[in-house]
Amino acid sequence: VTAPLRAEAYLAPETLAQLAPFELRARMLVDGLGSGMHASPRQGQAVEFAEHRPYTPGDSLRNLDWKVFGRSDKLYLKRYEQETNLDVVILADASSSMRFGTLGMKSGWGGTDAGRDSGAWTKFDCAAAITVAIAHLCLEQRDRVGLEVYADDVRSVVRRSGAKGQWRSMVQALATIRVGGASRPARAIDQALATLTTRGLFFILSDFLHPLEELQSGLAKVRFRGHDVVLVQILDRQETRFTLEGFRRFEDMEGGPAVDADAEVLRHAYLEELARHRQELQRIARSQACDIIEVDSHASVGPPLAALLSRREAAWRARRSS
Amino acid sequence: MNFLHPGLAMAAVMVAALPVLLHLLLRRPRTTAWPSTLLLQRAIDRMRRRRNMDRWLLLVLRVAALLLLGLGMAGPFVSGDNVDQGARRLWIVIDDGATSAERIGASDRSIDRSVRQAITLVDGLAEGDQAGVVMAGRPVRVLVQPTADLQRVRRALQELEPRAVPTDLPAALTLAIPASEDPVRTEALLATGWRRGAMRGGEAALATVTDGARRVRWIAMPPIDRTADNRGIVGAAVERFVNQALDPRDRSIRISLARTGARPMAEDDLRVALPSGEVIAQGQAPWPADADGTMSTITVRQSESGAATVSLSSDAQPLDDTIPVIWEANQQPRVWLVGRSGDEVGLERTSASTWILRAIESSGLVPQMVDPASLALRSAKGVDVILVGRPDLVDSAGWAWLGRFVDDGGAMLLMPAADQPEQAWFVDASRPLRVDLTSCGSARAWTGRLAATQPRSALLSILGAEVDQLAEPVQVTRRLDLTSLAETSEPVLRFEDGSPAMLMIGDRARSGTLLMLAMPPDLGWTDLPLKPLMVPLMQETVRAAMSMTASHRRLHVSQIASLGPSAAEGVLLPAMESMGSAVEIDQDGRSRSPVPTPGLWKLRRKDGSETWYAVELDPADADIGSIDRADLLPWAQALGDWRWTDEPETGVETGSRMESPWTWLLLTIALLCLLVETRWSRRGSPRRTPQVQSA
Repeated sequence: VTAPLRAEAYLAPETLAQLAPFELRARMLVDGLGSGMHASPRQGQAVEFAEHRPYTPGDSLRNLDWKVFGRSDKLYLKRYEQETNLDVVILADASSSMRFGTLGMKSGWGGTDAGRDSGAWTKFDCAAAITVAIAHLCLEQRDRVGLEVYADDVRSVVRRSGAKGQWRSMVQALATIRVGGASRPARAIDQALATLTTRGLFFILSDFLHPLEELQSGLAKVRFRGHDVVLVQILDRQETRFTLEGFRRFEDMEGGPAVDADAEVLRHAYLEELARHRQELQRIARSQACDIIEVDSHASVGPPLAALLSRREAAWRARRSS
Repeated sequence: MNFLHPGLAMAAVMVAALPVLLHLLLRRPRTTAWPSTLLLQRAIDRMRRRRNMDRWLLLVLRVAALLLLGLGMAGPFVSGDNVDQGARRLWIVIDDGATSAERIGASDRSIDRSVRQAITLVDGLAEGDQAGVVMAGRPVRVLVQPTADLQRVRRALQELEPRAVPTDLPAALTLAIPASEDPVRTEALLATGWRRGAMRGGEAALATVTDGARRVRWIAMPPIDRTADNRGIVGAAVERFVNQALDPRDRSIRISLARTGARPMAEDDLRVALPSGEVIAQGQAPWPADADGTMSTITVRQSESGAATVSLSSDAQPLDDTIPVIWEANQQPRVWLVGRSGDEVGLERTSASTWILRAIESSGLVPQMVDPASLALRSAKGVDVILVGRPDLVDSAGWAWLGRFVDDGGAMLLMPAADQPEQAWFVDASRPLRVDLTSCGSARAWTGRLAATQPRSALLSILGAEVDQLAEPVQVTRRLDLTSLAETSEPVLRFEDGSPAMLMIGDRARSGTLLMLAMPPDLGWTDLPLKPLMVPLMQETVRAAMSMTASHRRLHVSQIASLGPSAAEGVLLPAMESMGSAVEIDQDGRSRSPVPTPGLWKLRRKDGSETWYAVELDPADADIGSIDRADLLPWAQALGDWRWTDEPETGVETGSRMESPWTWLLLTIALLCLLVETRWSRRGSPRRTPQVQSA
């Protein structure tokens, strides 16, 4: 008998406080089904004027701007933007590499499959914390949010919804999902695209420590459909600093070949290789017009998320003012 | 390369093996779960070659640093390899020289102390270790070659007795130094009392052993630090009586003594004994208060032996209590007169040879006239004195013959040829006699007398002050100028102008006596033949020269004796059988082996004639004066690894160690290895952590 899940244990108050000043903004017009705070390319009742266009025969006279016709004797139609809600899809990587963590379990944290096994604060725990924070933010903005947890296949899906119980469902999925297997983001992306008919915002949370060709092709599909994408790369501090010593056998947590090496001798070359890998990931993100943030799993998740939201909100305001 | 401390070098090798072991142990990797080995594999692929090189280079540097550190501290020195294979070789260099006879207790001698210490060390040897014994008494020799049969070594040590010979420690040390390729670890015990007599000239001779000595660990017995109460005879001289009333066979023996330590005795009893042991005279040597030396004279009457030993009661050093003395025996000396006598009519035409012959005959001596031309064909055996009246008739072969005669211990009187002012024979005679006679030039007219005050020479000492009265009336009308020879000679007679009239020409290499007159006893030169001085001068010249020659018959113990051609193929026999066995003389007159013991030895020539020889131990070689440890520091410094037996093995005196220049070189290289290792090992650490800017 497992203890009843306390969803509140997955969202730290300080994270809430750090994200409170911000709103999650899409960088493009979105096709929401309900009304919300995001601009929609569709014209609706609750509209905001967007632009004029010349009248062509066949157009409905309902949107004809009579004031312009009275002043200039020319026929123009008024076009309106619809403010709608946003569909947010979070893809969380639950492959074996996300079980890695070198920080002790944080007090008050509800826990995941990965963290409970190792007793450590794993990258998947960090991903879960970010997912929960984003979901909470979205639901607070009356946006719809959904979750797909993937590894070598899609492990769990929480369909998009703006309902009050949605957040709890997502927490439930993250807390109980089995973390393991290889990381294959392409399938998760394909499946998400298949179920998403409107333009939305994708969050992909992973360590991205796998060949990036598959991710690049997946992102291309997402961008082709007009979706906005934010990549969140989560790495443990040991991975970024590599302070291990002595002669070791590194066993790949995702089943790859083991590597024997003197950690001290290898350190510099590994860190160079990691930097090169990160640069490649950033290049892919730029080429697909994706946002990317890096999160140190040892640090609090609030500051990098707040920085992301701040950056996007600033861009949105700039676009509005222009 | 060898080491002052082979143990340290061994430890260094073992410590140097540690990194290798650690390296092998560390090669068993600790398993670490890693999120993805993708990046690790890429990193390894890129740096695989460099990684391998780094790892091995680091290993080599670490091993080299430890090894060099250890080897450097072990005190290496280069003079051949010395690999410690575990077995030890102990050389016991034991001093059996004269100082080892010192009594240091009621029934204990210095050599007994050395033997006890040596046996203690032998008892401490392990199975398989070897011990050998070297005797430091001259001639030094190996008594027992290194052997694992330690019981045999103990037996040999227990049978050792002191010998009355000098100690030659440097030569003995040389025997204990292993060859450079000898791999066995060598230790050497220096078992001696370090008395002054054992150390004569030792420090200078040490220079010959310093190189190889550093391959040996020297263990030295501490010096005997007490001052011995000892009296010894340091010299003895035989003199003839001036008083002609006494029997000419009588002799007086003047004995010199010295003492160290306490001085409770007022006088010492002295005895003179014949070679047979019969005591023929006794006397006392008075010791003035606080005096370190004294003299005593004992009269020996009507002795026909010509040889005796003088001794005093035995004390701390028994080997300086006896001294052999010899004098010319009461036998009729054989005198040759080299000259020609013949149709001499009248005083003016009487030759110098004839005047000499007549002067000597009156004393009962019967000189044999020998023709100068036949000298080289004759044998000098048994001849004691040669008077050369006609040197101008001696050919070059004759001068060579005469030169050998004097070198071998004969006495010879030279004088100018009377018939001619130019002394052409100087050219032929100078080289064989090793005297530059040509520097005297030719004879010249000079009118004068012998000096009224003559020098007190040993030759005419028996005449005493009477020689002045005898010399003063002698007139001279022609003479040679011997001034050029005076510097290295002893004057016997002088002219009134101070120039020498008769010289005893010195030469250390010459064992005989060479005398030279500035004028022949010829009336064309001087009226000496007509004066009272002539007879005693010629007779004393013969007797005193013989006596001096006899006093030259002194040999040094433990040395090869050079007795001259007259002794060829003879044999030296000890006065008593207990002194040792006979020593054969080769055809060159040299002994085939060193004379083993001091005392009286009799030379028996091939023709049956016999002559006494006194074989002496230099009293300085038996000196048992003490030496401080600090004064032995030059030995310790020269020999390197040195400790005293009364100190623990680790207590090597700082001052006795000399650091090898290799030590600093190896330590410096080790330091460089460590520095490079430190720099190289940091290549694996993140010098700069690559940062990726957030998008």
